[in-house]
Amino acid sequence: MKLIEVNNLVFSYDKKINVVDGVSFSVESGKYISIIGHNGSGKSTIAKLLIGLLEANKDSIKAFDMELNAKNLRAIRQRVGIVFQNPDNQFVGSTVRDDIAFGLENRQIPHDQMDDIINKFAAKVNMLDFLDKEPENLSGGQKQRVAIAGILAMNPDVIIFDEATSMLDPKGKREVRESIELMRKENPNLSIISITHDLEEAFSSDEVIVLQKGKIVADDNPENILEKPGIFVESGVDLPFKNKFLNLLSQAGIEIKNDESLERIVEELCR
Amino acid sequence: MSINFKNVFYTYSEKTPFRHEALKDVSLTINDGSFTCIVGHTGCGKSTLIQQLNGLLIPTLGSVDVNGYHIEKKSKSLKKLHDLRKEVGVVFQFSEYQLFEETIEEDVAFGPINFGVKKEEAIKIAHECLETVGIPESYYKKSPFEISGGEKRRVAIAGILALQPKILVLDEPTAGLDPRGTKYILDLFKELNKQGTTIVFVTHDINIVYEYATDVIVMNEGKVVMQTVPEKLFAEDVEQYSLETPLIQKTVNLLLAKGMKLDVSKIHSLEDLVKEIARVRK
Repeated sequence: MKLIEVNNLVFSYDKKINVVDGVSFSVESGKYISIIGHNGSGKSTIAKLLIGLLEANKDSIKAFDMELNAKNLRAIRQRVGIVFQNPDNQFVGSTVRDDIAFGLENRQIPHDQMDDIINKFAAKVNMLDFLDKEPENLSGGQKQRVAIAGILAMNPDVIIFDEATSMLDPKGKREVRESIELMRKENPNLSIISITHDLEEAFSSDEVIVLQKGKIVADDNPENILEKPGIFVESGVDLPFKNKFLNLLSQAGIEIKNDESLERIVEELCR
Repeated sequence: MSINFKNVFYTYSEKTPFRHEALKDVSLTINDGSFTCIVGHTGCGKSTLIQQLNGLLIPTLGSVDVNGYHIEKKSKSLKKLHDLRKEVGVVFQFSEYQLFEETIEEDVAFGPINFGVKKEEAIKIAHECLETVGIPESYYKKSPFEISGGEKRRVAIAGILALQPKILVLDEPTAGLDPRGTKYILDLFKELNKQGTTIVFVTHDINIVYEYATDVIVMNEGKVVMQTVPEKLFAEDVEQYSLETPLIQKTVNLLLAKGMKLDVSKIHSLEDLVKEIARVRK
């Protein structure tokens, strides 16, 4: 089932250059889509257009069988959550508990039900022991997990991660990735759109969209995308380490047959 | 002239219930002309440490000497901080949020103008620095708020380069940049370093330490746990310091464990590793 359909999406900040230029794709229920591309390729602009922070051209975005317009914006936003890049810019509560409660209060969830919901979703992102902590006492990864808990508490159908791990240390990145994996396992119908430069993450998703100067230059599963290394060079993104290593070995005349893991490659090299 | 920290302590919100000791008895030396990376997990004190370098934060206890400037509480040289800040340029984390002028060129020219350079000359410097960081001329008159996050970061870096600092302090300058942008910026810092600029580089990306650093400082819970050169750091199990092993090092370790006789002193990049593998296999 298609939850979001994007059709010939065009956007310009200055009415001269289109930073998003005729983009079309769809988001099906339960799909994990990664959008990669160079800085300025239009990735984050697409995220903002999808949740109506920027105004899309008419009839270009349809979500849950509704046109994305001023009239339907509120109903669509209730079903789409977004986690932004900077963990400090989206922490609105004075404690973890208040932050998760913020969205629930906006939806006028009765206070006697709120505690159970907060506890449930804080536990899902492993933040139950931090409910009364202030943001100053949390790491970047912990703050992003609180943001995820706040979104999960709203029971969305789609979550957009706009470079949500790029400012985090390796531990923080791992924590957020684990939270994403867990929520997908618990809710197989949840769709994820991840805008990322982390290629290891992108290639663990179901579908990879490669953007270049506002246009989609590839949209396929990770295996097929990896077979077209030229796309990476042209789009200013990098191959994952393993593929870069294999390419360099091949250029040096060393062909590897079993390349399923780094360990296997090393075994073959040492044979 | 190097940078010396002598028994530096720094405490936020002292004498309040929110008191937090971010630096605990830090003593270290950053050599003149080095490319020194400071690593450690979030909250270990890295950003607090670099803010001592141009006197944005003054040590609660202890002292910092930078290029002949002595920074210590109640020291007379604190009056000369204005001069020190010409010599030490700091690019903060999320530097893209510091842009504020109406056009990109004016934003970059703001620093030199603030230090007394005439506007016309400052704009000329701004254009040179924007070219250095790879911002095209067609962008110069644009608002800094019209461009992408990665481009904003480059403009912010140009703004600091415009001050022609002797010491360039960078707090996670490549976080959020695409791989090509990251390489471009890192190669730029490497070139500046070759020309004599001391680079102090805070990062979570251990691969940058592997490929670019001449010196490395490892921090944990406000303390310096190790000050060394990358080769010595990676000869140890770096995971004991909550760091990740660089992927190249991980591959080298696997190959060594399988008995391949690599000359590790020749390996500083993936290209070097493949050359070395090819040499051994011959």
